[in-house]
Amino acid sequence: MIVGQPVDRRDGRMKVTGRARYAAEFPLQGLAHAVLVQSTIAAGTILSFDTADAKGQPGVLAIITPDDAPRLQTKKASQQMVTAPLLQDKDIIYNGQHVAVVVADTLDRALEAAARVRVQYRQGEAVTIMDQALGQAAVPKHFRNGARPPDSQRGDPDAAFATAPVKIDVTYTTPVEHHNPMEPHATIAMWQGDRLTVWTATQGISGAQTTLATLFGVEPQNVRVVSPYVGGGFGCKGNTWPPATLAAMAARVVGRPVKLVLTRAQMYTSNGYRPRTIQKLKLGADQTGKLLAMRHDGFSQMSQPVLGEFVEPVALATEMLYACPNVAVSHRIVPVNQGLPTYMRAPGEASGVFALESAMDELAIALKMDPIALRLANYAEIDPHENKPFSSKKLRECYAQGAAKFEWSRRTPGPRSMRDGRWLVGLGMATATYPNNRRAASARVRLGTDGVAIVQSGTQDIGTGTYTVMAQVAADELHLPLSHVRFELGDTRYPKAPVSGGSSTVPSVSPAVQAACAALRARLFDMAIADPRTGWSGASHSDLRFENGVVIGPDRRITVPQLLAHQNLAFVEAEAESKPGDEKNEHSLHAFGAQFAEVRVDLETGEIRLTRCVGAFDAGRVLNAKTARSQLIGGITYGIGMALFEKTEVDAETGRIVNANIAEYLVPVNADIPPIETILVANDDRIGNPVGVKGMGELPMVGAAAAVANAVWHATGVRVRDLPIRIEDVLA
Amino acid sequence: MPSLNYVAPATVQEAVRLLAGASGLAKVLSGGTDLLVQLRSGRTRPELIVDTKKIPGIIGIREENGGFVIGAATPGMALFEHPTLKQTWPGVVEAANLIGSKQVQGRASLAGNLCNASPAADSVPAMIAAGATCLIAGSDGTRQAKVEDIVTGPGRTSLARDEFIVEFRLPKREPRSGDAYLRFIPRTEMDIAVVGCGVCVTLDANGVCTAARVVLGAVAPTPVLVPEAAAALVGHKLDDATLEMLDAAARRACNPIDDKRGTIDYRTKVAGVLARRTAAIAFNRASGGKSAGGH
Repeated sequence: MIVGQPVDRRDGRMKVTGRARYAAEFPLQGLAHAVLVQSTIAAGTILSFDTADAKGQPGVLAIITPDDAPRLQTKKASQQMVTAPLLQDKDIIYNGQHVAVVVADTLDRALEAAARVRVQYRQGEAVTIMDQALGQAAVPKHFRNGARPPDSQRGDPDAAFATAPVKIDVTYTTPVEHHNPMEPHATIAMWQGDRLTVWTATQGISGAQTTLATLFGVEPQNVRVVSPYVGGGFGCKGNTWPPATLAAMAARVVGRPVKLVLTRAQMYTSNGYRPRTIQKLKLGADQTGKLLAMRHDGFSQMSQPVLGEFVEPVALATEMLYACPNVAVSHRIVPVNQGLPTYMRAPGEASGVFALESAMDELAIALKMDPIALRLANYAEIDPHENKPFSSKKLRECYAQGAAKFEWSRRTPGPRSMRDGRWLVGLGMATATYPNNRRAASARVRLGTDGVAIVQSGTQDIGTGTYTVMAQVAADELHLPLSHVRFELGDTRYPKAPVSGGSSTVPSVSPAVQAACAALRARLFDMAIADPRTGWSGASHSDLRFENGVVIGPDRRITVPQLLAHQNLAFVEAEAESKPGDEKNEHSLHAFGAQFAEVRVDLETGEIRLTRCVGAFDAGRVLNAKTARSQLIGGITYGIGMALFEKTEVDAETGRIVNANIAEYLVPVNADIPPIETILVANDDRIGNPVGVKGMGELPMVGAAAAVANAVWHATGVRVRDLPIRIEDVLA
Repeated sequence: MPSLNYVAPATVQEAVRLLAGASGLAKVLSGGTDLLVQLRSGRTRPELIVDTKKIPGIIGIREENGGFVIGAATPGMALFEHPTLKQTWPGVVEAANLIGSKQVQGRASLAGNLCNASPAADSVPAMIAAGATCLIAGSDGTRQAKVEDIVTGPGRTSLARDEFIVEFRLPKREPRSGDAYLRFIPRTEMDIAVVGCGVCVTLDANGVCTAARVVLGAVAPTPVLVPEAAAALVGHKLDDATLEMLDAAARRACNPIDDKRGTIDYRTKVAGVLARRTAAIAFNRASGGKSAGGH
């Protein structure tokens, strides 16, 4: 078995030697460069542009403003489509909004001209801070794309809470955060007549294809999207955001290929963010710790409705994580003059489980109960919200194995009860959960006379290991050595696959790869049986085996080159689609985990240092022990950033983001990250999908911030309910 | 907009002549780790950039009369790798090496860190504590100045428009003396000081402090030399009562701002703690200990 082995990343050498070509790096003849001009006000209307000075600069090819921008077909919605702001009107919704595109023959000339575009505005009234607009909180119109209402209730949580002997009634907040992938978004767009080719950094080539086709009014098959390598996405490359569309618009206007690369600062105003959330939590329990009532009311920051809608679904995990008879959740959005928020690693779960699992810690303290014991007392054997069995749930094993490795038993219950010299020591834990998502996906495989299987699917590798694990799945299915399998992705010429979001790539695409390989093998068997030289006529597939490129029958064997030669074929090919069946109607599909964190807090300065993290996860079958561990430590690291560092700061008066760079928007550096130990609990969930996997891109981020916050409470006795945890909080 | 001119003169005199002759804003370039970022962001729009790195001697370290002469544009890594500088002035070298990352250290210079005039500059409190001076070239020749007399406010220095720093001088180390620098940042690395503290002390044979300089960074518009904090040390050994007085004096010297990086209360409290911790390292070094810096 090659699946499960810690195989090195197949793209690793290409990346570290600089040969992996990212979106901004495709060389094209006559390439022109586009630069965005951005609004300096947060609300109002553009009165006029003064572009005379800019137009007179050397090398300028075009200055596109709402006055002359080509009209786009923004009325028809499609997957991952963002329809504004695309220079179609003169309304200003937020500070930093794109208001014009300058195209020149070199980047420097485009930058110079862009700096000379003058914009006159009529300034409107802006609401830049969510907390000032809570009165405008609205019910989402398209929650989960209409798949379910934004609110739910079972039992009578208010009545149960009123009479519960032990109560927690608290409010948690999480800040605006930006994704900050290493690679800024970039697009190169080229038109040949009505045919558009874009090289773009995206988590979804199919969504980019349909979005661009819709907006420019061309057939989807006339749009080719190429994205072989993506330098991290974390959600901000999921939608097809305006910069990709504006690059294509600019290329059409100037009649040349155009490149548009966002600056780091523009990564804060161009492709979404995790919205600020305010979460009201009520937990009621009896004296034994049994939950009697849960209420989780979430408010998340939104932009103005004209840009679309995004809700941070903070309370979905609250519905299903614990066996509580009385539960209500709600989701509201608060419009402000900021850009459109979007998915950011574990949208809803990362922010919502921070609140839920912090509140559970508060409940354990109120009950004088061990935090793990409290969770086990409320362990949900079936999904209590959907009233369905879980396809598999190894959360108990996660708690047990994680606690053993972390040596949870050394924890003394009281706050400030563990010390090491001038350091207060704190141990905290939290639960993780994330849905096991799957969407329809296709793959094809071609086997030629050289014995190499080329497997193709229009999926993405956003740094997670798709290239590697799909080759492993194909190698096992075809009984070929890994060296004889090549996996190709990132091109809309390949069979269609879904957006790499919601941790769905492996659960969606690996079954398609497996199915395509099985179909190829069946085709080879058909050919072998039909081949008069084998003498196998009348044999069935079960009489044959396919190993190392050879079809083996009861009495003899035939190689693929021989089979192909007999039929004058250069290769044999098969394609298959794999999609969810009714497993989701029968079962609740989730991954689980238990997070543990050890912090030290300096008695004198309050500085907070993590010294150890342990995460134990049920992520189904593991395709590659090495890339899986990388996902887990990456997710926990992202969670540590959420806990201790990350916050986008907005100037209330202007609505401008003031720390739009990675010097002032703090992400963890290596020295901030302690040793992270990971455990993958043995599981193989064939109900969720035929490969047995659960997505694990987002899972390890969930609960990490709560584990840190709970550890900080244990160290200091200070409960921090507003992220990130700051030194000032623990000194208070 | 005026176009930007770049010149790299080969002599001090030529550099001074160019600076004096500039009609608009002229900027002196050494490592460029601040200036290039500011140019890119549009925060500064000079007409002329005078790159000093071609001037002989402006990069390099030499020992002179028991002290050190450090060329103004000498990068941080050269300080780090010098065979004797770090043993002699560990606080200064550690402070300089806290600036940015390893890559930044390949370029970042003491002159740049000083003349960028950030209140939070790491090397400046350490240099002031060490009693460093600088040699300044201008149209009227050269002059010596104390490092603490250079920065006059955020982004502002006492240098005239035709002047630039040619070299720094670190004095001969007194026997039984030691220096140290600590800074406090929320993140573990790669961050700007919320508070910085440089301390240099000289002890007598009994471990009693005979001379001290205590300097705080990031708690006022400029780095602050705190004579009251030094006075708390002089005449005393490193005991709890002395440290308490030092802590209080350091806190009294603070005049910080509230910002997203730290509140006034917090910066003030940490200034006292850092003064104590830095003094402990400096005392230890002065009495022959090999105490490491950092935290």
